[in-house]
Order: sequence, then structure tokens, then C-alpha cells
Amino acid sequence: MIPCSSRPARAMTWTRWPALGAILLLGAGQQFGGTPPPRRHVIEIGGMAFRPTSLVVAPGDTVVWINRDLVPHTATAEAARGWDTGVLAQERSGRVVVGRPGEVKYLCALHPGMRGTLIIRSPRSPSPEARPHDP
Amino acid sequence: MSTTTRRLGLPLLLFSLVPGVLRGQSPPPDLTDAEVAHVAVTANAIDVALGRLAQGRAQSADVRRFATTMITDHSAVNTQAAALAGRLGVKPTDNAVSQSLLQDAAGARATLERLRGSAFDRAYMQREVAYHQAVLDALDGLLIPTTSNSELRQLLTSVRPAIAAHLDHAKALEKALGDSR
Repeated sequence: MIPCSSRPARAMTWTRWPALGAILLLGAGQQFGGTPPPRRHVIEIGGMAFRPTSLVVAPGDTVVWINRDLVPHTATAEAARGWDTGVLAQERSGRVVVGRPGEVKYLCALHPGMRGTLIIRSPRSPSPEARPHDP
Repeated sequence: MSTTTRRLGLPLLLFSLVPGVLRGQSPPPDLTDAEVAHVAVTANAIDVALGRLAQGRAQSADVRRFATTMITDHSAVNTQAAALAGRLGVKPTDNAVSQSLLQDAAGARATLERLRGSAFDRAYMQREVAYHQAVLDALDGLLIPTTSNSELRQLLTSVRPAIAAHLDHAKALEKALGDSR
């Protein structure tokens, strides 16, 4: 029979297992080519441009836009009902967690000449350079 | 008035309202930093005021959005200019260039206030193209080279890309309005 006093300790042990398992799986995944953890990318807005203009990211990554310009900006997906950081005043930032693989074109809704592209690529999908040449 | 005369005459009329000194036709005046600051603040305030007129009067949603951006951007620049002037202990000083800008703005506003609908939209965008081109030329040929204080010069330099972007945006809208006639 398990003493009542041991229950909390036992319960704590069980609650720790999933976390430990997750850490082990994550480590094994990285070692054997699994999905790496999400990353954080920064795009600076300065001189009326997104820098870098084009960025390769993975699904689940976070992209942060920081406005270094005097005037306000947005980062707004061109597609209808796409994401939008809202208006970012000087030194303010906005973030987006990217979704499925593909190419997302975005612009500043206030200055339509300012454009950028997120290339969302699964970590396992080969880059164009790594693809074998056609026969 | 024929269509051709309207197309050629109105831009020329509006462009003639932009002071010669900003178009580089007059010899550049010798401005102090306090006077340069006043010119910059005045130039921004003029476009904010004209933007407010356009917000209430423009027919095209794109033109109204452009006007809103002009109000937001030029107000943001003036907030920075006021903060910098306060930090430097500089009081912007009225001068002949600022007076010339204000006189020009009053004339342009009087012209625009007589217009309605698509005629207003076209005239406002033509004015914005001419004005931003003139301000860009003034930044390059007068204001930035004349300024001796490095922080004020840096502010003017960092404003330049915004003015250039406004000019491109205004040209695109002006063309779109012309194409839709």
C-alpha cells in the first residue's frame, strides 16, 4: 500500500515524465535530423525599406519587425485576410508566427512602395541549390 | 477650357506656386541652423494642413489614404524636430524661405478649395508631386548642405527617404488618376 504522504511526491514524479520525454525527443529529433525548434528572426525597417527584403523562415518561426524610421510603418500580408502587424511607431515592433510553407509577399500599408517577401520553407524541404539536377 | 489646356495648364499653374528658391532657380540663401529648422517645420506643417483638406474633400479612397499618410508622417517628423530643437536649445527662427513657403501654400490651398470631386483629386496629387519634388531638391541643394549642427543634419538626412517615398507614391497615384479618366 502506498502511504498517503507519498502521493504528492509520486504525482510530481509522473508530471515530470512528459517534460523529460519531450526534452529527450527534442534532443533526439535534432540529432537525427528532426524538426528544429522554432526560431526568431528580426527584420529592421529603416530608410523606408524592409531589411532584409527577403527572408527564408520555417513554419512556426517568429518574425519580428522593428521600426527604426521616423515615420510609422506596417508589415501587412498582401493576400486578403492575411496577417498585419498594425501601425508601428518609431522603435516599436510587431511579430507574426509564420504558417504553412510558401511565399508570402507583404508591404507597408502606409507606403505601398515598401515591399518584402517571406519564403516559408519546411526545414526538411531541400533548398533549390540542394535539389538534384534534372537529367 | 480644352482638355489639353486643362492637362497642361493646371500642373504648370500649381508648380508655379512652389517657390523658386526650392526649385533651385534663385541663389540659395545663407540660412542659420535655427532658420533651417524653421523651414523644415514649416514645410511639414504645410503638407499636414493640405492633407487635412484632402482628407475631407478627396473623392478617391486612395487619395484620402495618401492624405492620411501625409498627415501622420509629416506630423511625426515635426514631433522629432521639436524634440531635437528643445534638446539643442535652438528656437526655430522665421525667415524669408519659410514666409515664401507659407505664401505659396496659401495660394495652392485657394486653388484647391475651388475644386471638387475628381478635379480636386488630380490637382491635389499634382500639387503633392511638385511639392515633394521641390522639398527633395531643397533638402539636397539647400537644407542639408547649409546645416552645421550634426544632429539637425542627421535628422534632415533621415527624413529624405520618406520624402522620396512620398514622391514616388504621389506620382503613382497621379498616374492612376490620369489613366482612369
